[in-house]
Amino acid sequence: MTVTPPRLARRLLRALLPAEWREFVVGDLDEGFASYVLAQRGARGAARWYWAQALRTVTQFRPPPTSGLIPAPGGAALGALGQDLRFAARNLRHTPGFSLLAILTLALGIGAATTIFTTMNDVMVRPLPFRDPDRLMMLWEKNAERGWVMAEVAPANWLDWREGVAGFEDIAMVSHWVSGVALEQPDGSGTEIQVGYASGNFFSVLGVSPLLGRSFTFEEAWDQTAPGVVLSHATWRRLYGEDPDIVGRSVRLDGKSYRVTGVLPADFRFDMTSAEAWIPFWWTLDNRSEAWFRRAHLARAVGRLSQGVTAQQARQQLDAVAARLQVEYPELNRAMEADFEPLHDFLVGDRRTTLFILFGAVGLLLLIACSNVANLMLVRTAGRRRELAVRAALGAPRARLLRQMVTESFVLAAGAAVLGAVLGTLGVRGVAALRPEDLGGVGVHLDWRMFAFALGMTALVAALAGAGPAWRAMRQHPRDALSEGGRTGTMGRRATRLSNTLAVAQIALALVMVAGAGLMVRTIRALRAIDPGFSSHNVLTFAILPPSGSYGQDRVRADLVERFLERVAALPGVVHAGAARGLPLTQSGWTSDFAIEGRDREAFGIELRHNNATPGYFAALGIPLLQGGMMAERLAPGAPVPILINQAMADRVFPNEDPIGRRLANDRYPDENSFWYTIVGVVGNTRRVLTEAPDIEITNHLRADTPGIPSFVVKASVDPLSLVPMIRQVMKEIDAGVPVVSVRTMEEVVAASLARERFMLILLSLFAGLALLLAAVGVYGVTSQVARGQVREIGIRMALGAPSGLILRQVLLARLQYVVAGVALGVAGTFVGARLLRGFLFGVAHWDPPTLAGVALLLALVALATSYPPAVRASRTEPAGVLKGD
Amino acid sequence: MATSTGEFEQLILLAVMRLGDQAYGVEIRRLIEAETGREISAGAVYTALNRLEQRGFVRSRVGETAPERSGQRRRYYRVQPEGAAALHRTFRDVSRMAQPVLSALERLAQRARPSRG
Repeated sequence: MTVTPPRLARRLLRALLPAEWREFVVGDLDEGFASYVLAQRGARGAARWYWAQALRTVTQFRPPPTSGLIPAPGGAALGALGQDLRFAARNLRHTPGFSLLAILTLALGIGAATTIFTTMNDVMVRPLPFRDPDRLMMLWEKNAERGWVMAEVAPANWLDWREGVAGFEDIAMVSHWVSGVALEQPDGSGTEIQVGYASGNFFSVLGVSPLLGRSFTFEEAWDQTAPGVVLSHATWRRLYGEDPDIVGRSVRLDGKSYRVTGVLPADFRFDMTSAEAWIPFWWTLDNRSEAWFRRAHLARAVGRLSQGVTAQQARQQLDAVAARLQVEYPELNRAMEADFEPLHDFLVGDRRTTLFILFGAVGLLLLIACSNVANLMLVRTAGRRRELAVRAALGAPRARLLRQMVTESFVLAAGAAVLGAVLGTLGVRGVAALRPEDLGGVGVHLDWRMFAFALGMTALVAALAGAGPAWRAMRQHPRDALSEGGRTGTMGRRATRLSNTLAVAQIALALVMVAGAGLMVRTIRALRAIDPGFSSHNVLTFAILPPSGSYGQDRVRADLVERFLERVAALPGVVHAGAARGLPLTQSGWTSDFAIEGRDREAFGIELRHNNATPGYFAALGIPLLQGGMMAERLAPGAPVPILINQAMADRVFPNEDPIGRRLANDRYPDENSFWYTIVGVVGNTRRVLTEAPDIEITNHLRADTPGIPSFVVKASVDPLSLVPMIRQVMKEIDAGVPVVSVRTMEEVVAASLARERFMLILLSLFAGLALLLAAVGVYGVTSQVARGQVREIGIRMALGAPSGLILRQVLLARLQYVVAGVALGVAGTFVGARLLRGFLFGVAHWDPPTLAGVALLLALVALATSYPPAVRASRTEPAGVLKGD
Repeated sequence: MATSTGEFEQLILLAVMRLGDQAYGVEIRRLIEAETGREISAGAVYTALNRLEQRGFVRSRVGETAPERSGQRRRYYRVQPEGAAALHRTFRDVSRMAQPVLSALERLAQRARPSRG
């Protein structure tokens, strides 16, 4: 039998010697062992000799820096870098679990952070794509008596501002909404296009030059006989294949002829609307003297401050003009004031909160990811403390060792960068797909600067967490490194303390995130529990776009609606069919003052919301008739015009009276010209905004006044979407030039009204899940490490008779203090952090006790559950094995 | 660069000279152990050889392997003129200093406790 050198001693030697010397030193010992030591001392004596040689060699061997021996001009640094990279890659391959975990953790942090930073940057930071955007201001009207803040502007007031306030170079007006209208295709069929309205100077105020042609001028926009249209770049591409000769061509929009004056550049966006084309407002200069022109607060005003004028000076001038208008128009402009703020601030507006919350959430996630990687690196470096200490003691230059550790961090970061970029790209697309309308124009391209930021931050943390302990390990005397770490090479006391602190922080941060998600879950549940006042089950809604060229007259349009409705109602599978100008949960309709016949005036500021509908509308949506009777299907000429009021109005305006038969006018001061409507019935409330109490509302017959184009609702006995082809066919048979648009189920309408909350819920849940996962990994890592450090102590205690159940309990109890600390910190953090969420919460306080208790319990359970396996492992320590190792 | 050598380095240099073509780790250590009765570690031998090589006193080459080395090659050393000069100077100085007291030195040393080296 051949006697070989002790394997462990040999392996230790090989592991600890610098690569370039390993071969000769180990070879010499092997040769000496075999050639004469064995013969002189016998097998046991030779083994002892080999051990002694190995231990003395690793502690006594101090090779000089090798680079000094063979100078490689210029290439030395590069060669060393290559060596470091190979070394790092080899080390990381040896510990695939660690490497994967670290890369995944970093990639998640980078991906999530980049996603949210990109979105934030896009919406909030990036300057508006206009000339000198800092001088652009959004102007609005405000009225303390009516409770208006940042209200839309009446066109007549806009014109007076424009002429009276020299502090503004120019002020334009623009619609903050879009209208779907029919655009006639070459084949005569109609397609929907979303148009926005603008005053003629809108594009020149923004400082946008069209890509082709020009925008309309201030003067020509008043001329309704030859209106122009400016196309968006996307529309030009979609509908006209980027035809370079489009300018000057005539297109039929809404049955009316428009001349294409220009095409906007591709990067043009005006975040309030998603208009596909811009046309002038429908008014003319003759309107200026009419009362409605000063009463209808219907659009937004955007102005450009003159050069050298401060916002303060412009505001004084604007105040003066507004004050003058109050005097000149005491009725219409009573208490009407004006103000403005930078356009960018206005457009960002409400989104700021959303994005700050997401920013906070993703910041927390990034923190957890960083602390997790820091922890992983700490644990890993601790495992190599002996190696590092010995290598340093043997003369390896510290700078080089440090560089190797940092190189490892960077190799990890590089892997994470690739994965993080993929995740970030997916994330940005995901956010763009999910985002609710009110988040505005979010880009779908990864912002590489943001990516670099997140990458740099995580890599820095990884590098510091790797280099810090490595530095200490190298400065240690190898004797201490060899004894303190014991056989297993565990962490020192300071590293353990840091590791525990990081675990506490992770638990706390994860708790805040999970609590946020929990609050959103409660919010969505509360919102779903609200009765919107109608049944959305099997209800389809859609609209039509009759071009006003052929359907300009109210009667013609109303006839079309009636004919269409009749034929739709007769389709198989249709239970009820109706039409209304405003559907529940959509922002539509108008409000006015009102007066009840034979009564004193109502208090100023109570406004009535108006809707128009057919009786079928109430049937289709299951809105109950609570009192009185339904309006007739058709209005009898000459008879009193019947209206329905809702429950809210009955309660508010007729608390102790029977409203049936009472008459109402839409004026605060009714006179001989006022039109009186007769209340015939009371219907149930429906909500316009899910979280807001129902408005007081009257519903007039669709045919009674001059409504725009209604939405249709159809209650089906079958899947409502299966009716769509038949409905389109019906319209095609009536008039192929009228497109059927905005086809949605009522359930989709309900879902859309929760879009903002759902968006927050999905993102927060995602982040919270990731945070929980990362925290679990972190807690597991620390517990394993701490348990490994105690293995000798445990072994001795078990040798002395401690039962393993007791050991398990004690290990877990020792973890419990950190879990409790983390949970307590997290609960405290939630009290503070969740305040940000308040604007999103509904039916639940931001410090909701059940949520907090549940989340605290969840986190505690997860933390203890992840501590359990390492604790069990520790309690199964073989005392003999541990003690033999000494 | 220092031109003097320590005692251990002198032993190594002498061993390398005596071993000629066979001057590699195992033989160097074995020779020193045999002549001095001290046990020395391979690590110490290589540390000293490294230092000497850095100062230009010895030069090394990578040689062949042997069956008992399981494929690991030997590293052979040869003394350079600079090493020989340094060694020579040291011995010259020591012997000049010692010559007058050599017999007294021998008598006195025999009264010392035997040391393990």
